[in-house]
Amino acid sequence: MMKIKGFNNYDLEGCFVYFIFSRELLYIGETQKITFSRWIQHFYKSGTFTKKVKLFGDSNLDYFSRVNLLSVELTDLRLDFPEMRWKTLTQAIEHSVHIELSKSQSDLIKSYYDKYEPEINRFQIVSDTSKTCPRGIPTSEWEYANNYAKKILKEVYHYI
Amino acid sequence: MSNFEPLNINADRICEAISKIGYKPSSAILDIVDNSVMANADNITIELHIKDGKTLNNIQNIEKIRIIDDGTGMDVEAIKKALELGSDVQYSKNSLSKYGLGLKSAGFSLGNRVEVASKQGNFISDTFFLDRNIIRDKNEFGYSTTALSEKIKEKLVEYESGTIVTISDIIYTSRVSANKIIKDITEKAGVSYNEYLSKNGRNFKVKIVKSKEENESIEKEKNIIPKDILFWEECYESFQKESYDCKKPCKALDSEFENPLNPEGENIKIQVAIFPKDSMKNFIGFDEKEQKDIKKYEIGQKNAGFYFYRNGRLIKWGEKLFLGRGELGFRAKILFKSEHDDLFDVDVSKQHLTISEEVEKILMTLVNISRGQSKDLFKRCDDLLRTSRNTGKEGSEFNVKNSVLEEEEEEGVGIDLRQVQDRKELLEFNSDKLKLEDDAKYEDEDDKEAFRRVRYWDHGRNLWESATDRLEGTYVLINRLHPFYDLVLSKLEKGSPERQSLEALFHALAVGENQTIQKFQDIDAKVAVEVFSKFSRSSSHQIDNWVNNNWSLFDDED
Repeated sequence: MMKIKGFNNYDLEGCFVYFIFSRELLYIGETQKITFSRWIQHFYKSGTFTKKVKLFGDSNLDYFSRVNLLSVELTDLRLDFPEMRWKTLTQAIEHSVHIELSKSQSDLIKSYYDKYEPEINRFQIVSDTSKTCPRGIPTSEWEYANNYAKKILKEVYHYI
Repeated sequence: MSNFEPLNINADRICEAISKIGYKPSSAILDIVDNSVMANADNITIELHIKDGKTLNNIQNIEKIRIIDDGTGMDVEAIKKALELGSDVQYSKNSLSKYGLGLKSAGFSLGNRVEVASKQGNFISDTFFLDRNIIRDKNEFGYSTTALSEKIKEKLVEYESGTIVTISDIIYTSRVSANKIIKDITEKAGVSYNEYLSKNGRNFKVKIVKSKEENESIEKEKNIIPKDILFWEECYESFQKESYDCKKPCKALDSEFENPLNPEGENIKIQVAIFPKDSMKNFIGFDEKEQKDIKKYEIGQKNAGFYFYRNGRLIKWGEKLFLGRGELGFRAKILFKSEHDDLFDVDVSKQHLTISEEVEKILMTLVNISRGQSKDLFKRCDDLLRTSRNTGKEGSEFNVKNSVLEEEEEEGVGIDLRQVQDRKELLEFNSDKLKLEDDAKYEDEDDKEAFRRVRYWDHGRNLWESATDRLEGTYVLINRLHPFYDLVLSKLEKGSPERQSLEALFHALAVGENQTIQKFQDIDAKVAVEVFSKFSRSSSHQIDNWVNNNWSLFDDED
């Protein structure tokens, strides 16, 4: 169904949804290729994650000394859909993961935060899918994405 | 220990203040009706008594307003509690009350005198009343009593128990008439109390009454029918883009989310239904009943948006939040309970609420897909309206209009025509390998007039593929699986100038490719084919990248 891989061993071609954890901030993204440089880009001064920290973080706190990264490869997606749909479906699944975590934070609080950030009882999702969420795709593909997102989170809770 | 000194309260000014919290007359009346609902009444009647000599539509024609119920009724102590300001009644779990001010603030917003009489079994109370004139004179807040009028007694004895609230010495802050109020209540109350009224045996009526001496005659009467603003029972289970018939609403979301302030507590429910375009009510392809059903949904700006229900009672009608003006077919119900009050901050008049930033963000994420589907659904309606005029297939308008389109360049110097022929055969051979299902060569196979230069298919890795027909020449296959189709092409009307222009561009790219392979003979034909193959893949990939960064491009379009 899916597999969870480390991030810096080698370049990985595939459909990935990844999570960047830093204190109470959580960034969720997607990519078709996991590379060391892609991870690092997030932490450049003008990187996506750095910008989000500036926007949402507490300026008195250090968000970069303790960061956890986790990526999930969506292996089934590449089997279930032709290449043309991979990117779009990954974006749909990324959005569905945002939905699931907006609906309920409890399971991730219990699995990740209780273990790594025990003082945090509510996290803040800082990534935004309003521009990258696919439009016009069939309802059946949304159902697929929603189910996939649920499976991803289940697997992540279990893995942590 | 600090000293405490009590200070004077100007009772009348407090009454004035609580009456001016922004009630509309119909909302104030419904706020009083909340007490009847909480008292488990099966029968609720609102009577609007009009002044002698006035018609239904004369402004300021109301003499008194009466709310009659057969709920649990009250004893003397309970009546006194109900008349207190900020009464500390122990509300049951998920009660409609909140501050203990509703009866007084709603009552005084309507009139200067608020009377209460009640019956519990054999006990029938006197009339207890709050009167602004007396309160002003005495400069103290308090009630007075008087014997029950015969008319009130007559009404109370009809029931085992119940309560009658009468508002008189009516205050007019707007050009309101009995007819306007009855219209507002009829439109609103069925939606506001949908859950309550849906239970069997419940009756809710609004009447306009004319009283002359002791005789009362009913001039107009309306039954309030429960109304689910989402028409959930009539909705299709989901929106299926390809097969949707534009006749009924579709369920788009049925979910819940946890209370950010108390994740262990009860979840907040959310349902979304998306509706067809209002103009479908006149679509000639639908029968009379189908048209009537669409009319019944009353699709438009007024009814679009979020409906917030607290303990089953509507607080906010069609709140737009972050929705755009064009999102007329989107309706969502948010169902919350008393325990979520801190998140929604409902005001005293129960007409307004303030949604926390966090809840707004959650809602925005949760309904994103439904909003997209709502736009697709409207688009589908547009397509249906247009196809009633234009029944053609995708590309067909272009093909018919360009049946004699030339594609030969001027012959260059030094071109070997034999090689051109060989290369053309190579392209034809390659095109044969494209396995096309159900792919007619002409728009009309009988007259073979319009060659299908532009065709749509669902295969391959590229946005477009060029192909060659032995007799007619170049045609292009546009890939419906490519995200560019979802984002752009599918949004443009079949046969529209915009769609034809893009089709012309794809066709020109295919012609350019075929012509170059045939006539640029400095390089080997197979290499040329490979170059274009790589070119198509790269450019298709690039347009894919562009789409993936621009999904919101058409979001503001109606």
